[in-house]
Amino acid sequence: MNGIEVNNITKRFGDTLALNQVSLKFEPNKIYGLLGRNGAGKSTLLNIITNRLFPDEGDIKIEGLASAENDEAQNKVYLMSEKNLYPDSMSCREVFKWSRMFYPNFDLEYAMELAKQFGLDINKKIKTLSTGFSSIFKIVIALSVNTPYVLFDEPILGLDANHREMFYKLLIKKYSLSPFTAIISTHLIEEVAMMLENVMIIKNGELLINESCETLLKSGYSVSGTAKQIDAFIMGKEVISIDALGGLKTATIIGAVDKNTIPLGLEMTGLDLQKFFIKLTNEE
Amino acid sequence: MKLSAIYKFQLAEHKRSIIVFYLVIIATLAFVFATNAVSGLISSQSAFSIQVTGIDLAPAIFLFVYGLNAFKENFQMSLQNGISRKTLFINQIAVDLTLAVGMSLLNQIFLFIGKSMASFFNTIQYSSILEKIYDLRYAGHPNGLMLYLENFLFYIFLFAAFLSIGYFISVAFYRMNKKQKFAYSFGFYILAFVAFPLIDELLYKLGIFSVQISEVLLRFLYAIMGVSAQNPYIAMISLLIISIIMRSLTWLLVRKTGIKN
Repeated sequence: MNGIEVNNITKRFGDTLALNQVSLKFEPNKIYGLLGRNGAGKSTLLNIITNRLFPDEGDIKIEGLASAENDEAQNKVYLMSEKNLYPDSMSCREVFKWSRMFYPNFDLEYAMELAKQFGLDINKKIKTLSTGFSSIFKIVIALSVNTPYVLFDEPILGLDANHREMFYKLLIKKYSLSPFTAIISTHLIEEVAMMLENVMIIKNGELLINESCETLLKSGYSVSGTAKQIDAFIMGKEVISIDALGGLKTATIIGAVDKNTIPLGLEMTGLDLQKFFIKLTNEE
Repeated sequence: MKLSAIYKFQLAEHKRSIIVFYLVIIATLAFVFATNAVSGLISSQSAFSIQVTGIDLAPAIFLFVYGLNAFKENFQMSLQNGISRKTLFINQIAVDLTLAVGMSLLNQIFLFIGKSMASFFNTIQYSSILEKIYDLRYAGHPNGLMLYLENFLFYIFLFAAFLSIGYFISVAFYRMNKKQKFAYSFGFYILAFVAFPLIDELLYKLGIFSVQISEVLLRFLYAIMGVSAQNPYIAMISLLIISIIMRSLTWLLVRKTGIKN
């Protein structure tokens, strides 16, 4: 069985229910977006997949192998986590060297090349890295590790716009040269939306949406025009957000639409995933 | 591949501290012999005498501290690199055995060199702890092969036991939150150094016990260390049992330990 199968995972931290009966599947060679607000349970799920935490209930299989306490299964997965688990006193160069020992397919040359591109000083100790360079250091390993499944937990934390752009480009390049499963956990959707093939949204420990990005984007649309026209058009429709600027309005609407029914003067665009996400994950 | 990687990683992590430790030991011994040589030149030899005993016990303290620091980083590094707790645990035992055997061997080399150098001077007495504890057994054979062999075996078991105790404490503390850590540390201190001596003294003086508990414990320690029987093999078996108990308790803690935020 290919892919990562998550079956009825429940995890509690004291009184907090972090994950509640979550079941999903990550298929091989796809880019997934694991979306959710802070504390939704995204990191907990990734930590359970990678054997860092144990679930209270349920099980996970990686290519048919039980993930818990299984070196063979874990050899197929790499998690770039928000929390640094490498020894603080080690230099980036040393970590790269050890990564090659642990992961035989780790491409040391490529890691050095990436570090150079990002401007990461590999002789620096991990504890001296800024938040942004700490993310870069982990991104470099994640992109060089060459496991079939690479999990990114908040990969762009602290990165400036240039470095974020570089990361997206490198990820796409890497993926197109040698496809693998990338799971990107984030709450910053706008930037990653264009890369994703599938979207999973978690809210309060439960899986809310598990759709292909294409299907999700087709589930709604945005229209812009004068306030008067928009007000008339949205009557009776499921509106998830309205932005007004001067006399102009933009409404995000859920549901199918026939382009021919759009009145003249209104401009229709695709669904804004960020707005859709906010609507879905709003506590109200 | 990964099995050897985590083994090598754990050894490499403490390579520097082990080298520093032995440099300190060498410097200490050099200082002792240099002091003796200088003293011999400025005073009459008969008025000056140095006893070097127990330096071979120093690695046990070092390894206990090593054990105290051996869990967190290795555990996190293992999980980051897809190593299971079981593999880490097995490898930790392999690493500890390597250290115990290696450092016990070095102990014998130091003992041999120390004794050989001491034989040049009349003013230095160089002996191992084993010769002090089992003095009747080794009387008259200060440089016998049996002493080195038993010394070597004894220290393997002793170092392994100290490592397992240190490692257990390290894992237990990792599992605890701040309040628990404080409570256990403070509680242990109060119990061992305040409550126990008080109760021990009180029960004895009130005539409830005819012998002090501390006396009984000491006798027990003598018995399990084979002091009374003058048999270091009893000590080796006892130390092995301690190691097995500690490792078993450690495994119970490690097997369900999760990563901390």
